[in-house]
Amino acid sequence: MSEAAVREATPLATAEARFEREGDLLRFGGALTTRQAPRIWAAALRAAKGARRIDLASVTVLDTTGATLVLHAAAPEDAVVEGASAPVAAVLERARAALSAPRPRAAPPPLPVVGRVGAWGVAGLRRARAGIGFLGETAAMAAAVLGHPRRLRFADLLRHLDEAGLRAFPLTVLLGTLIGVILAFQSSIPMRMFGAEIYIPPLVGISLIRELGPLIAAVILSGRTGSAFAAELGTMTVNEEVDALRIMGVEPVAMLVLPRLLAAALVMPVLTLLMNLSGLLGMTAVMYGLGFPTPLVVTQLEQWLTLGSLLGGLGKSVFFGIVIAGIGCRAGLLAGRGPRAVGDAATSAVVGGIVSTVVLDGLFAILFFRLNW
Amino acid sequence: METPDIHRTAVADPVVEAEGLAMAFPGNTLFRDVSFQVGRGEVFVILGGSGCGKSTLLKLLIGLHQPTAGQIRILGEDLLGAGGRTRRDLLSRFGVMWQSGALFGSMTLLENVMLPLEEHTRLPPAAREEVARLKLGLVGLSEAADRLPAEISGGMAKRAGIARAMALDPPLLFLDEPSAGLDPITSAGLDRLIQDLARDLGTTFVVVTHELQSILAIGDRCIMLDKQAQGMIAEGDPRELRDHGTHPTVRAFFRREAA
Repeated sequence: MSEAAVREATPLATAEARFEREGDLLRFGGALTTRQAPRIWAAALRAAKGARRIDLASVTVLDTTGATLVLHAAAPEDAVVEGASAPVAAVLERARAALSAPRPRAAPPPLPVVGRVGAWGVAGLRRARAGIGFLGETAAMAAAVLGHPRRLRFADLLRHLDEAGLRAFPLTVLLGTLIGVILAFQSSIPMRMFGAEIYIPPLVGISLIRELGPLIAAVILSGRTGSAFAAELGTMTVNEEVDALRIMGVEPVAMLVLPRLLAAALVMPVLTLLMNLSGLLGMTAVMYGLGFPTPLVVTQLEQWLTLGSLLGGLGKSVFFGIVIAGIGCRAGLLAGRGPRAVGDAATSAVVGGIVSTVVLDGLFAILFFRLNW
Repeated sequence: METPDIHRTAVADPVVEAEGLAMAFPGNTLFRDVSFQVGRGEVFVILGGSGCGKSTLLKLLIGLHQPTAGQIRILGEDLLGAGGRTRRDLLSRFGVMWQSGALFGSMTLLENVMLPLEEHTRLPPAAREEVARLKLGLVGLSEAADRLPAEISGGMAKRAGIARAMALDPPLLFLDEPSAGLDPITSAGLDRLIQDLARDLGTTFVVVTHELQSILAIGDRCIMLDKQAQGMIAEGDPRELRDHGTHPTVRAFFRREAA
């Protein structure tokens, strides 16, 4: 053990760091340690200007932080360091060697604007190509599994049905009821101006079953399940589990993606239906509060709601489920390296899931309009 | 639980003192009655087979877990009993290198090493960077200062972990499995680094490992834990234990024999 090691707990180490300038000599003293050196750092470097010799004879303890200070003080004039005891000199020598090691090469200058736009475009094209590849692989694998349903892992399917479906029921009921209550209350004020409060049930009912039910169920699926798929598959990708599957001859898409896609496609109509029913219940409660008896509300709903509207909403929710699960799985499987990759994958799954659901919903709106559905 | 292989050494100036440590989970006693002292400037090795509680013992020593029984003093202070400033002060006086490096993934190696300096010192920013560069230089990572942890190898991550642990020049460093999973050359380089730092900077090391070559290369003294004995079965100079150990597990360990 060198004497330089005798630190903090010893009287030597508690001696305050100090410096003084005499002519061309800068003299350090006391304990030049991580604790003591910062106190004198700036002043000592100012005092070091022009010093040609640095005396360390009174330095009791030197650690690598103190050594950095001494070497910095010596650097401008290439001052001679003298008087150091053997242990202090050993630390100084080690620090000198460490500081003189080659630094990282300077980063290449940033690309010009045109180059950056090009790089951004190329990266976008690569991402698109990977996305199309994923879509093709999934479609091909789905077709293959249709021919051999045994290749589908039913145990996994059940687990995902439970996680994406059953466990989302309470949240769906809560949100559905609240949406029904809010819509009924918000529409009651303008409707009352026209004496048309009796039309609140069809207004809320049609909004829910055609549009809001599938859309909000999709947001729930995206936030709860799409992100979970991305995080789970992203972690597997980062841990090289996906590569291990490929090497074992197991198609990651068949094992990991298809059960999730199927589960999402199956749970979405159920979640949507639950959302619709909860919303209608919430609306009925508000109507009751406004003085409309429940049988009247039910009669209004029967008169205005069609099976076609309900089936249209449930049908598009299946596509929402497939798209959300697909985007979540793709984000997970294409996750990069490092600890941020999983977080990035989950974020892009949620954002991508919600954006594509709304875009898809727009396309359905045009389609239904053209079909006069 | 005295066994013939426990050779207690009186330590004049102990940096770590463990007295009667026990750790038990419901239905499972990991170890009990573990006592030892680590002297200033020593490289002290905690060794044993997988699952014997080496890493748990390390976590007790650094105050992450509470022992079921026993006392721990680090640099003369009771870490578990310390609160507020005393605890913060004590935490700045030892460093830990985690098994996987535990580097912060969103920061470069340089920023990783600068973090403790920002938290615990009042060095000017430029000086902090210079001190952090020096620490990376000490472990031979100067050129990788601007890289992210995801861009470096396992051996480099461990060395960067040591650099970060040394950021504040603590007198005491805990290393968890420094050479596990590394090739022999990198592993030998790390052993050399530990020896150099112990010699030149006088740092005390408490190293958890089961790498036999490392133990013999760097260990001044060691203790050995055993799963079956639920505690310590040996204490002393690892080379002595290799040549003269009598406990069957100690002999099997040092001769690399299957149990």
